[in-house]
Amino acid sequence: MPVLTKPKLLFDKIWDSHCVTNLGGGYDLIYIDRHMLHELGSDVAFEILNQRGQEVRRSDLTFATHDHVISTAPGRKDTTWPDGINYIKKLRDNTSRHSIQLFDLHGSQQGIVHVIAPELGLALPGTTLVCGDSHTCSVGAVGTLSWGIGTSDVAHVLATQTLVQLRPSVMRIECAGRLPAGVTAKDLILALIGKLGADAGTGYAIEFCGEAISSLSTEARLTLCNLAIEMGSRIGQVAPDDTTYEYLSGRAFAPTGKDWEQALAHWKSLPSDPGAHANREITFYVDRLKPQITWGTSPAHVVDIDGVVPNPDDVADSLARAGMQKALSYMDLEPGTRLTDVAIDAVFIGSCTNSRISDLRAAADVIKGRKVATGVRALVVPGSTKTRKQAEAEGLNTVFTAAGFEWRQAGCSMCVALNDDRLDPGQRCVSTSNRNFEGRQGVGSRTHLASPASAAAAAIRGYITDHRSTVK
Amino acid sequence: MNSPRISGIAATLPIPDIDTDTIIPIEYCINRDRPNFDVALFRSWRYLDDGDERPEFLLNTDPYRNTKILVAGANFGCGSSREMAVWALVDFGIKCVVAPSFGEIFYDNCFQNGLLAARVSRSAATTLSQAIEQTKGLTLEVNVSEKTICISKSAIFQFELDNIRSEMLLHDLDPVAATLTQIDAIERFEKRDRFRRPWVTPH
Repeated sequence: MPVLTKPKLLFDKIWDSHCVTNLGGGYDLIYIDRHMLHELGSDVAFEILNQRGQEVRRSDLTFATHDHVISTAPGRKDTTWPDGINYIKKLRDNTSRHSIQLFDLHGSQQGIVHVIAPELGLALPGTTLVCGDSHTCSVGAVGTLSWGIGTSDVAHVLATQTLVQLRPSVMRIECAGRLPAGVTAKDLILALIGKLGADAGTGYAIEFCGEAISSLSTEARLTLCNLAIEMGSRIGQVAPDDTTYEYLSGRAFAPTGKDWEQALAHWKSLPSDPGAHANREITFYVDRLKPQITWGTSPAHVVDIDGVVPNPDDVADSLARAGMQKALSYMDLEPGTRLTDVAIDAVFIGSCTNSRISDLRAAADVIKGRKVATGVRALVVPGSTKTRKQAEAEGLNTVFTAAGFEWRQAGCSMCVALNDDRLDPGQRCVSTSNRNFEGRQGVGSRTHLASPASAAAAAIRGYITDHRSTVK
Repeated sequence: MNSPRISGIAATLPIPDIDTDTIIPIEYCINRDRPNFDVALFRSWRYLDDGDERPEFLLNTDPYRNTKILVAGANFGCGSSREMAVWALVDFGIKCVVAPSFGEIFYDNCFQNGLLAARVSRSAATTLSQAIEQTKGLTLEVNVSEKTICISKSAIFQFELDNIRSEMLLHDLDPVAATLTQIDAIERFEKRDRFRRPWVTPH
């Protein structure tokens, strides 16, 4: 007789199997299978560890890379961006002292931490993964339970390989239907954030499911889960399936041989059981979705690409109205303006959201044989060195450079603006990144979030553009 | 044990979705040590590009330079995980932030640094903001043990806080040391896991 067990969700299966001990009051001590480090979030954490005189508990489960405070200039050196020199060195020193594998600035496996984690097969279904960066939710796309943490918690994981966590509720978002041609995972998640709000996911782990999600590639799912945090949830997940296994098979750190077989058997048991219910269930129909573009200073400030800047006076809630007014003033936009009438100064294609090979291909497809509009600065920054090399092997770099784009080296670049990839005050940029916050791309910068194809079309026209209407 | 009472001047920024980039821009997060993050707090709201103060910004006016309690809109501290956002608030002198909801990573970071993040209802946040706007230099009394924010004896608001976090605040608990008392359980988990999931450790 089979043992009857309560149907469980993907989230619950992974959480429960990583619970070291229950601490009471809804808190569990959760074991961490993978700890990813980067140079910005780790230096103080190592200081804390060193002050305590402690060793890294599981250096074999800890991996590091340089991505945030580095130059992305072609031919970059340690010293190309002066503010980063100390950070680059300190991460080398700390990882060497504690025997942690470092994907060094000059190595072939370097890249944005959330791009390389799945690319190298470090992020695996059914495992827990944390990193001192809020966009760690990205890698939930391969069925990982992953979330971003602060510096103190980075030190906690280094010392104990665990975290004290309050068990979140679960929100399941079923995306029904199929995305229309030219509408991407980026548009889908921006539309969801616009509909549900920037804090709708607070207190929840989000599982994305449904036909529209099953038909997405792993790279598109990474884009989707990347923005879970912009909905307030530090955890976004997609259940692993054949698409996932195919993606992970043969990756540098993925299990092989007998280990792969055993892992695969476990992974196939992970999807939510029929009859399991989330604390909040939402159905979202995607059949008529259009490309999305943000107009304000929150990812929830988003409209259809053929839409207009909304009027705060139409909003009943006084606080939301105040937020919108502040955003419009910062963005220097008037209500009622068509987004496609808004001229731009820059385009950024990159970041942990949209810098993978499929993103670069989508952008190159729009750009091929065209020129960047006069006066527009356009950058492409591949998410990893591996992605850059693959793009170069496919000739995408020449498509970009022939059009007038800068072809740069892998890093966070103009998403975090911690190097010279930044806008001048007042400049307006269509960006494939994840945050349109005040000053995010440089002091006084104005950001409009969009998909790679939309960003590419904007670069050509010099205005925010519906890429579907550009003549091929 | 720390005093459960926080008392001081309250300021309000009744705007939703104030993100951690706004609380501290990234360029102020690097090559800087504690306790020098105060100059970075709300940098572009507080200062002009040339470094002069914006005279109209609340925290640049008296008595709000001595703000101890900050009441904000929903989703305060959303966005980036940068713990420097909490350090900037603490280095400025803020002891308690009050909002209907907080960015989750920011919320965790607050308690790692002895900063009380007090979650109140939307109506309580609105009432508190209005009271602060109406009475210049209003002082609030916060009690961590009782989970209350008092404007006066007749205007008391409850906030949400679980026991683990209030203990952390009241006793300055060291979370790493607390977890290390569970080291036997961690070792048992690892031992069992080596057989259960040998594929997890990369070779």
